[in-house]
Amino acid sequence: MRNVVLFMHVSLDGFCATPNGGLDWVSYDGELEKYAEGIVSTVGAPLYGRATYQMMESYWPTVLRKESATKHERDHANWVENVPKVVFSRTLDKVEWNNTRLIKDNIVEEVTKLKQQPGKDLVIFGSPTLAHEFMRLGLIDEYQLTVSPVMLGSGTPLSIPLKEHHRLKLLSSKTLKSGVLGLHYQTMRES
Amino acid sequence: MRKTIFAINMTADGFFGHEDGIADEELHEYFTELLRNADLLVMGRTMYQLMVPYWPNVAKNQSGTKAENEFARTFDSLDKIVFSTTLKHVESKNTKLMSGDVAEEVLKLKQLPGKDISIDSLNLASQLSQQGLIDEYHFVVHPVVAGKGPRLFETDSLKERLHLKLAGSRTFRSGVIALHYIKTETRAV
Repeated sequence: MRNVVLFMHVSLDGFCATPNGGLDWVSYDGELEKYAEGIVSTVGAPLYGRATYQMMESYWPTVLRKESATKHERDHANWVENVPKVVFSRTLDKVEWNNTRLIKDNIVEEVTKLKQQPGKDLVIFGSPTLAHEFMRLGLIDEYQLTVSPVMLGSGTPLSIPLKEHHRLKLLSSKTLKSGVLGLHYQTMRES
Repeated sequence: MRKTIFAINMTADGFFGHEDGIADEELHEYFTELLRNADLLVMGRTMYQLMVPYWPNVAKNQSGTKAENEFARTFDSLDKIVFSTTLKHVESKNTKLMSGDVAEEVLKLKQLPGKDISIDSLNLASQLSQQGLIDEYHFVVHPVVAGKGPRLFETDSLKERLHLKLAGSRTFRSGVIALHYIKTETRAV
């Protein structure tokens, strides 16, 4: 079965965006880009909430037409254009991006079916709202976090109050020169 | 100037608090090692009541594991200052009660000769951190998503982002990862 992975940039104090949804605090450099590319290579299908989907859908197709795009941007734009994408939203009626499927309800059932399909992992990119919903439903199998060496004090939290703590297993950690820490955890399940 | 350190257990999603952490030998050894470099502990009432008389009793009776006993001995032997406006007296020896301005007092203490000063309280650390009075942070991250709990800067909200420099990390067998950060000079955001 493939896994549902949450890929999120977080601050040291557990926030994934400033109150304005800003990400300028992420220490994003060449090394982090490469680390992120490593995670992207494990992705079978990105999972998006509505807000993130709309941002991605309005941005990445334009990169394909942009002459000044870097190789990295162009590679990612090509990849995301063609990869099967899944959007979770109760309010959207349709999605128009190439190779994109909309799931409006029965999340647990639909995600279980997706997990049983062959292929690489199902990865939530950012999407704090979707991440919170998936956490609440116990659907996250792995966490790929990059921890930037900064405390924001407030913002969108990585997690929400849950019925019980989710115990994890540390699979690996990597320190980047910028002081960013990559942490890869697996959710421990009752066997 | 003496160094102030703040060492604390944390969840992977940024909460502090004591449930569900993995308190094994490696963890206690880590904190003991930090305390050995200190000669003064500064805490608030909440932390004081959590630690005393629990740890002094463990030290007296040697009733814990090897690493717990060693931590207890080290903790017990250190001079302590408790900042509280509500506590009337303290029961442990080598403990002084103070109620003045924490930042002012810590600054005075830093200028005296001595080993590290360990700040053992979330609220005090939140205050002192923003005034640049914490030199080193040790966040011991446990492999758990708690969803809620006390946060740093909850009682004293951050006026501007706090940028730190990662100085090292150590992974324990349990999957706990101890992160060592040092203060950077404040810069414009």
